[in-house]
Amino acid sequence: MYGSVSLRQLFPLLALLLGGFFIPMFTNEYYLYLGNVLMMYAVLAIGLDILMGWAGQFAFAHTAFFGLGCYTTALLNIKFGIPFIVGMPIAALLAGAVGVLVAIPATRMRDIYLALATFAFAEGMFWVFNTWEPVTGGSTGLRIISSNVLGFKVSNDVTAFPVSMSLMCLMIAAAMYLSKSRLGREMSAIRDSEHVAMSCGIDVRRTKVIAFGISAIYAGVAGAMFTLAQSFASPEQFGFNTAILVLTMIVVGGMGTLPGVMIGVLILSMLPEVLRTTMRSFQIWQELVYGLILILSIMFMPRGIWGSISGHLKKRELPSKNAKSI
Amino acid sequence: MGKPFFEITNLSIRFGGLLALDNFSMTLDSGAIHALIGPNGAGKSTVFNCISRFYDPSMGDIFFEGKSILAHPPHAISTLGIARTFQNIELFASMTVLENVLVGMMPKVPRYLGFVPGLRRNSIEHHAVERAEALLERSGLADFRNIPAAELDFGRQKTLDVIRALASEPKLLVMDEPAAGLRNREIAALDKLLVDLVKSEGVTILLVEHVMQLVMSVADKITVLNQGVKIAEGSPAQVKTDPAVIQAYLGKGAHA
Amino acid sequence: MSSMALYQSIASGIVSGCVYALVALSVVLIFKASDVVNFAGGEFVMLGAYAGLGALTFLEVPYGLAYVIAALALFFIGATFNKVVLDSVLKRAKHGQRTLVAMVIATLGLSYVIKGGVRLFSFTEEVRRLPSAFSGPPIFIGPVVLQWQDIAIVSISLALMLALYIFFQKTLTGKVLRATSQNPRAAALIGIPVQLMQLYSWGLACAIAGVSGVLIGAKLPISPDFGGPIMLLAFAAAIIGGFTSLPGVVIGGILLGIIQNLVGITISSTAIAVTPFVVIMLVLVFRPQGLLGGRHRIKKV
Repeated sequence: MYGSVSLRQLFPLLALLLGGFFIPMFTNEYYLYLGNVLMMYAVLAIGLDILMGWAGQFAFAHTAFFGLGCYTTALLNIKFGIPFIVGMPIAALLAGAVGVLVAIPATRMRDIYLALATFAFAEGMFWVFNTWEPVTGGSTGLRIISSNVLGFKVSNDVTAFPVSMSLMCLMIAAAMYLSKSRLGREMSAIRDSEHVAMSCGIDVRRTKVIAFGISAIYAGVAGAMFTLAQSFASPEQFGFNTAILVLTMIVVGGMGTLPGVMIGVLILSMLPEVLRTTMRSFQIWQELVYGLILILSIMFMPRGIWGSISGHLKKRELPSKNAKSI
Repeated sequence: MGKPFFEITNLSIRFGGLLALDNFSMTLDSGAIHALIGPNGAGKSTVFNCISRFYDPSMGDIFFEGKSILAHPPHAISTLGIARTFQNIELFASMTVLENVLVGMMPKVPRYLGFVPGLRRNSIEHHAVERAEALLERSGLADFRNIPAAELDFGRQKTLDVIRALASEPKLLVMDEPAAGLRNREIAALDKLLVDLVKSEGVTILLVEHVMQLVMSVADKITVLNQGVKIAEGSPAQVKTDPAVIQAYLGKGAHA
Repeated sequence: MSSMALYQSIASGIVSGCVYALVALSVVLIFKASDVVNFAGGEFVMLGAYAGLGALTFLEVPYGLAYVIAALALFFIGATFNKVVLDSVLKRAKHGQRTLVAMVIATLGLSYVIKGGVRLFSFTEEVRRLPSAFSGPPIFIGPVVLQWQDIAIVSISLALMLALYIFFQKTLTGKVLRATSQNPRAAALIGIPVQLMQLYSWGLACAIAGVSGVLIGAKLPISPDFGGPIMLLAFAAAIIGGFTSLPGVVIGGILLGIIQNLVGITISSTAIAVTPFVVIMLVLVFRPQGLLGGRHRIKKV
């Protein structure tokens, strides 16, 4: 929560980044596709965790910004030929701006109303994606065309992989710096106790709005990554089911911790694939399985997998209670 | 003489039909320890919540160093130089001891872009951590720096609450029942701490307290509240024998 | 727009509004009793509809009994969920953890479990409808045309709301439940078993949801997915009325039903789907306490 990010901590990211360029050379295209999807979910999940796990704001608008990022990037490319390298930041900033706009009234509300208002907003955006046919292609969806990234054409999973990897590593690094910063501490303080935070000089509303904006930017970037991983965008992808999926990822993995979120993303992205190979009619079981995972996690592992693991590890470190106080 | 260091004038606040504070006035001198006492429900915490700007008074004003604080939102109060501890020790439960102190220090830590690496950022963080460590060292909590605040024992949590408030280098420290739940040995230590703070740091202290042992020992001046109204004010000796005060406590008396 | 269309809209709006009100009552009951928003509320309605349909089709019971079966089944399921899942979450909560968030997440999980569970039965693959409780030619009240089912919906809803009112205001159990909602700590001090009361509240709320499921299942086609839109409408109704006021919620539901129909004839029928979202956002921004919700108490520090 404080200090600087050491090179030792950045090292795994650098390794991943290099891997992004070398792995596609000897990996099956299907696994690369899975990887692209996983990396997109990673960015999406980290964004949601920043808002829910760090700042403690229980809000449901995330998928709206995800969709916004996706449609913006795709449409900028299709209608204006704007390459990904320019389109993605525009989409991310647009998502962030809308996030801030939504946050300004939303942060005045008590927890439960915040959840409902943001839920209403997300469903409203879903309706827009579904109904605004001339622009978004409506429920039939939008065909995504291959994009231009810094000169070379991204048209399949192989070429998309290093781009996705670079983006994911960038967003993870940003999250690491954020978590060890003054702003990161402000967010955690708000989560733990708003009025003590206020008496420590933290402008609670402003910090909440910033947290919303940052979270929306992450969702926007994930939306842009969607256009790399998939060739088709439909509103279904940005609806309530996805919201629950991402929530399950951070709950199962461990809200509020980067390693936890990554674990949750890994398990839940791979789950559909694992289930598909073991159960013939997985589609029918999907919802039941997700629901059970969510309930069982929250019952038996409320701090997620990572929380349980690090809880056991930390037990060794408590100093003697007999040490003198004042 | 100039303007008083801290002054509350004609403060009144109403909750629904209840007049919680009625024309309450009080003055603090710089460098003194001032206690606010009264039976339960007298309105003492209400005064504090007005100072913290959690409540808006219906009437009256609060002046700090000559300027009204009512124009400011709650988060500006600590930047002005007023820090506060809380009655039920509200700490940042999931954050570590060191992180709690860092948050307390927030008004003194300059802003920077949170997710961008840089030399200025590193040096700001480094200095902040150094100062936090020094504070922990002085108060004996250094060994606990990485323990989540919720896992500390009660006495240490109280200490942490005070350290957190002091981290912003306040001119006025407002303490809500600092001695509640402490044992005699710890109360004596708290006594010494408060006197030290005034002598060496020049902090002015306003405290709400029920533990009379501490109040009588440490306070320079005492104000007594009962049902929203000030009924007495003066030195400990004066207040102890004031008939209105004894009456308010209904003969239960102070456990000296 | 003819005045006949207007009256028809209002009348149909009242009918659907009664159902929204019932579902909203279910959600608000749970919220008042335990501060938890039951995100699975819509799924309970759906489950109730299927329970009723199942009772009618497979057990071939008379219609009235179908309501009772649905109510009992859902009372049991809601109470079980409360006891097994929510109590467990509470028990395992360590200091400083936010249990409310965890419980709400549990209800989200429950909504998926119910939806997924219902989908497993091939019976639910086809979209179905419950048969009408009463058959007969439509009734004409002035310029307005109503089906017997509509009359049934309104009367049963109103009867249920009246029964609830009497229960909470006049019976001892009802008063105890209210006391527990208002101040759990004081209730515990008097010796009221708070967790048991919350269990009953859950059961009762789910039973109400079940009955509304059977009511609406005769009017609208039911499928495992139809819980979602119902939930949204219930939230909107609750927010209009003020989340903490039971009478407010009833008014909110009926108002919402009317507003929806008016939107349908004045704007377009596609806009109907988005009405609840817009209503929710407008109310929360401009008057978060709704019509009858009280002002939030200033939190004592």
